Amino acid sequence: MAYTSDLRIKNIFKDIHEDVKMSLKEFNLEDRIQLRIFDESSEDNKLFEEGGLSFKDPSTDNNLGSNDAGWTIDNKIPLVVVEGTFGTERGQFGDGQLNRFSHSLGVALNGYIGVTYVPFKGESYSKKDKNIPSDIKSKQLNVEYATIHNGMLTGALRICKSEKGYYLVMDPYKKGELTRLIVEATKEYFKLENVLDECIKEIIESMKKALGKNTYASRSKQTVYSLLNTHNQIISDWSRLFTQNYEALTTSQKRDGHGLLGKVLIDMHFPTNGKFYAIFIRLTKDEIDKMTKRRSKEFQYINNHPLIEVRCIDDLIFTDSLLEQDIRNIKTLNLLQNSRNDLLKKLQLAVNKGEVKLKY
Amino acid sequence: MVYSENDLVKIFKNLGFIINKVDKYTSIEMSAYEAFIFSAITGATYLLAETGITMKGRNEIFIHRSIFQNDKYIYSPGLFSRDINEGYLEENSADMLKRKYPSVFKGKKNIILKEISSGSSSSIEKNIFKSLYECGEDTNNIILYKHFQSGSSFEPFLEYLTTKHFLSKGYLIENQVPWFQQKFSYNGKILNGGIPDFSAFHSNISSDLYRYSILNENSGIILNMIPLLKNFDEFDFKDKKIQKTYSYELIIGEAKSDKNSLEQALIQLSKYQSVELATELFTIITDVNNNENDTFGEIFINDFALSVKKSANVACTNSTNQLKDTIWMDNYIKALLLGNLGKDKIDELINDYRLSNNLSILKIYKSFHLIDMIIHTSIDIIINQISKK
Repeated sequence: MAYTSDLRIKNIFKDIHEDVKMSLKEFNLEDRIQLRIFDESSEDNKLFEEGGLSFKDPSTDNNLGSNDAGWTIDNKIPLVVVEGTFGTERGQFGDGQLNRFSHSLGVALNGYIGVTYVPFKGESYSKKDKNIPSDIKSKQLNVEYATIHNGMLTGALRICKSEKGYYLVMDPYKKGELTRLIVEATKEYFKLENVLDECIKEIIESMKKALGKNTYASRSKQTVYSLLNTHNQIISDWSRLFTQNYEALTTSQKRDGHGLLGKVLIDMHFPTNGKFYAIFIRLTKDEIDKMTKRRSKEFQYINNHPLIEVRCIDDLIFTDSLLEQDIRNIKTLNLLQNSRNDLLKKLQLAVNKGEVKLKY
Repeated sequence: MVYSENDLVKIFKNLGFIINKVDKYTSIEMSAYEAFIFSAITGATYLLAETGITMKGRNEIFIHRSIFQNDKYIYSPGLFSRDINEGYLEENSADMLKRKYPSVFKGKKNIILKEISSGSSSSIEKNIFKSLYECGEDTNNIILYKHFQSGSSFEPFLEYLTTKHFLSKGYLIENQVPWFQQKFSYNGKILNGGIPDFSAFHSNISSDLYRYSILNENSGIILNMIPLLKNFDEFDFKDKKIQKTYSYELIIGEAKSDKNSLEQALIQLSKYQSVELATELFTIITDVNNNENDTFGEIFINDFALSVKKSANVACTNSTNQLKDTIWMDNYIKALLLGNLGKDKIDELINDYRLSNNLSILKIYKSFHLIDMIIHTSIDIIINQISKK
């Protein structure tokens, strides 16, 4: 069964559809615009051309994430396809938000308008004793604010620039914005006078405004800005050191594959020199081979994408053998309970300074 | 175990409903009140629009019980929404839903049954809507119930039948029950969360609901309906000044379409039992009349009617935690009752509460101001505000 938040968002989309139809009545287009929406997520997972709400990445032929609703022309041509989530109101403060990055990406890569519909500033209630508002009597309300991940916005803005479609991130609490987008996209499709460009421009401006001066990954201990090979050539100016181990990527409780894919899908658009290298510092060559044989959708996508190179600890050459040993020693450590941020920072510095290189 | 359309018809007949025909579809005649219960529990859609509109999933307030959350209230929008400045707003209040979908609350409804074969698209609302409209049927009064041959729709249907049973016993009822989804430590054990499918319960507030004729010994209420009471003629909010004392009861059920999922249901119920809140627990499985568990009762279908077999043994409970849970339940019901008020009237309640507690009056109230007021305001004050013309 669907949980209530999924139902809430689907109920909202159905109401938006009625508003869209009402607006298109004066152009006699209310019967041409159709909403594709399902009760169960199993139907969302089918490809759009097979009646579902998922799209393939044209460069790999792999399916990307499914969406919640699609506005179509005559149920045949996708116009605006939306993935909705209230994650920022349910304690998703960090990288968990990127789990859904692939959903709208598939729409944009195929030339349509993909929308991720998520509160930009979500009120997330939690059980902690801090952040109790001062102007109330109750001590039983802890409110924190989960803001939209700047990686989500940065990635989406890059896609808008580089791809033929759009990856828009919209706040459901900005009433009427999605309705207007769908109405204008419909008018554009039927070559009626419209303000679709202006509408998209405004949405992109609000995404930029939400991003502000934040720079994606500026405080990350994983990003690599200068990756050298054994010939001392810079082979990438944007890569990442991933800390997921075999357990995290293969057990259902951890489910780190989604978050990993989200980050990679953003990062792969960043290198201006060379490719993007996904370097798994807690996986060995054997484990990479095992992962390759498993049917993990996310890992297969990363491993087969022409813009991504997958590497592991065995592919690195360390000048500092103690550092190498320290990294190998954290292979199975629970990093949430035993933070090794200092060590990861040390590794990041060493890679960026060329003290750790890639074998090939 | 897959039931056919004919089997469903027999079950509806046994519940006392009249069977009709709408165009080529077999249909079940229900009052607006009964049809609302059916839609809110099963997700069946009113054909008010080509996409179908359900009454399910419109009353979310708290996503977890505070007993599992360090006594904190974990609020989530659903019944209420908010604006871009975080000021709370009505989203699914009685006034909003009556304005958007007036026909939901009046007249007779016909539930039409449509079987969906495995692998077929479930997105059939538009075609049915169009064909009925073209036949001259009033689609405002038609509800579509999609009966999946895969069995996936049968769990909510079992929840509906169980709801009907416990409504007749006068309980408060909800499906998709707030519980805990993260890990929770209890009695030295780390427990994984989940969401029970069904609960029927009483807490202190049941006495107030009884006094205001919102429930009685043989007519309970589903939580989805509490925010919308004023839209139904069945409720008048009059204080009948008769006292009846209710003590804490929490009945939990886990629904599965057939016996192949019995083990899974038992694992889930054991998890829910281990936190010692529930007073009774049931497997709700079509064809399981003996779950071979000493503590869990069985709810099943026998001769096209629901059967309820209580367990001989009583579940182990923790009265201190139940007492805390009672307070949470009472505040939950008060929050739901606010759906019967417009925002201006709720703002009045917040202002009154804040004035009498030396808290400043604000132009914009956020969700935590709303919940703070609810926690500190009695049900009598809320119902008086609803009764004001």
